Amino acid sequence: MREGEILGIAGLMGSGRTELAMSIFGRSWGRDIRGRVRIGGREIDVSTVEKALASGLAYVTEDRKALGLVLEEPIVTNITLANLAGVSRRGVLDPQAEQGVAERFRQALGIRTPGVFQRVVNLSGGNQQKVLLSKLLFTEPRVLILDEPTRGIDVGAKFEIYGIMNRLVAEGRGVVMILLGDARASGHVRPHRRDGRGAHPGGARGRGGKSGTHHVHHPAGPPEGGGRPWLK
Amino acid sequence: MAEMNDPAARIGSGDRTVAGLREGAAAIAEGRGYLRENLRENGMIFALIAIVAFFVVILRVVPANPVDFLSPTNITNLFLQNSHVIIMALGMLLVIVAGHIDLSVGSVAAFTGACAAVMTVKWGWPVWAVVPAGLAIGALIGAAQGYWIAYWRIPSFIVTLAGMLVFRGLTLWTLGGQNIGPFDREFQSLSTGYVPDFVGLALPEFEAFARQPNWTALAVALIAAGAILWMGARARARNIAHGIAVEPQGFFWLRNLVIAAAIIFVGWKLAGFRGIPNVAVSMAVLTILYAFLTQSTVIGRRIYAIGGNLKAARLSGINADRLTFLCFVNMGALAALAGMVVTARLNSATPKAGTGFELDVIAAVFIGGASMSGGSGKIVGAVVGALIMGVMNNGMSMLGIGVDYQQVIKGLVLLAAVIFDVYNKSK
Repeated sequence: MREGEILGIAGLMGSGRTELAMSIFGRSWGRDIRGRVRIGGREIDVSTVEKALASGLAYVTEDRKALGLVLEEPIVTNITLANLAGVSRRGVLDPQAEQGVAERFRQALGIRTPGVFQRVVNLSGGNQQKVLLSKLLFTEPRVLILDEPTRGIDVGAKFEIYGIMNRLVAEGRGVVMILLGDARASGHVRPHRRDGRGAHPGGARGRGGKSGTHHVHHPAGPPEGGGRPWLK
Repeated sequence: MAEMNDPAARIGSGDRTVAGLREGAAAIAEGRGYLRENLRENGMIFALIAIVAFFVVILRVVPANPVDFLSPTNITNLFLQNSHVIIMALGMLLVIVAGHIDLSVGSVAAFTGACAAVMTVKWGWPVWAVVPAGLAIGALIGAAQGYWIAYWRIPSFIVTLAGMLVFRGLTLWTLGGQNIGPFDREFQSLSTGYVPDFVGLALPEFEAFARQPNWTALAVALIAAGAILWMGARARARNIAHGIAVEPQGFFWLRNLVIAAAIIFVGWKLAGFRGIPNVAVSMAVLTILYAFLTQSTVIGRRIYAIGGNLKAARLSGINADRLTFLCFVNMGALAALAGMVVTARLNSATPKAGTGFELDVIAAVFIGGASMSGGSGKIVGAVVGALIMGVMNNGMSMLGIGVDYQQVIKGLVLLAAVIFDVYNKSK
């Protein structure tokens, strides 16, 4: 996968898309996970979510209510949650810095709310999605995995989310997008699973020697995967 | 000046006025929302004052020989009798916010009290060695329980229920079924010691009295009350400057002036007896420390996040297992401190000590507004909850109400507080 590209991973429900992403991201899924993840040619440590975030990989879950947001907490608390080091000094939070960060993302992503101290539970699906996206963008990722980022949100918000993705790509970040259904509908690059070992993005376009090139390798697919081409 | 003549700028400023009005309306709505969301916490402070007032009146009217509920002696007693509940409520709040429960604190307090008794009375250790050793034992017990809860995902209810039995048994074993005591003065001063009067003024106006007031107690109370008002006003001004919702001004001053007046009143009363009890100092220091930890630090924020949504917290890079583990280590150490304070107050370690503490502590935290499902609750709430329980215990005992009715009333108060909370949220 190259800088400035959106890589699409598509599959039906239960085909292992989320499992793949969560296995890469801090081994949050399953056990006995092996494989390597490289960004910019350098292998990164993704053995915990903390390390994965620190080395520039972020994952936006498809289930924002159950896995993404602390619904009873305000927007500002949710946005800074994955990077509290960025708004604190020696472990003590700086409320003004926190508010500043939240306001910045509120404007950049167009989160519609009366104020950043609103509880997330009161927001619409689209705005919740933007808060979740903000949380992971605040970790300054180089590669961002979006798991069905437009699920359960209205058309306007969908359009805005696509716009945000394009902006991210323009900034030189890698975006991996997981979608429901047919891969041909979306991805610019289609990764192929090779010899049952890993999904290797890039394929015929070559692996490119440029320093900004991202390689995302992954082993042994989902448990039920077998030899089935689960990535199209 | 040029700006004033520019029609565009004028229209712009008109827009700003409209926007300002709209923001003002939104601010009022948020203020109302703030009141509703914080009704619980503020309500509890006023409930505490109301309960105190109730006992003051009824103890003057009902008994054959009227007593002063707010006599210096009784206020001092209130602190001495409830310090252990408040100390443990601080740790219990963290455990409950993280989405767990600890049923073992009573037994752990009894066990560490027994250990401290053995170390002091049988081995002749000095108090400066006994206290750290006792805290270490408590932390170790907390670690042992936290290990299974955090890393093996065994439900905390089960692990600490087991701990409750295990450490009650070990208390009996340590004490050999007997009481150990009495203690030397140093160990006793953990609970029944008083801060000496550093100021030591001898004013002629007070010569008619049995003793001079303890000026240190009064000074500390005045400084504390001033600090609360000043810090409250500063935080409010800062919040306004940053557009954070604040409570209405009248309400803010009413609440803080009442609290400040109550602190000065308590300080005045304590000054008339023997001054500030040592436990009140450790309690106040711990309360401030834990309030800071929960509200202003990264660790506190993370504990609320794992209680609010464990999976989301994990996917945000929070090491939930380690934090849960640490919550239980902390709880163990605070239970140990409480155990030693109680042992010092009773001047003996008994096999039955600490029975039912866990229920008082858990009830205090829930009365103080914490949610059973985790993720919410405040230190101040837990302390106020503990004070409500303590005042009710003390007042009902002074009224001569039997233990049977006391239990019924306390149970109903707990139920009412939680029903009020749930009703308030569902609205």
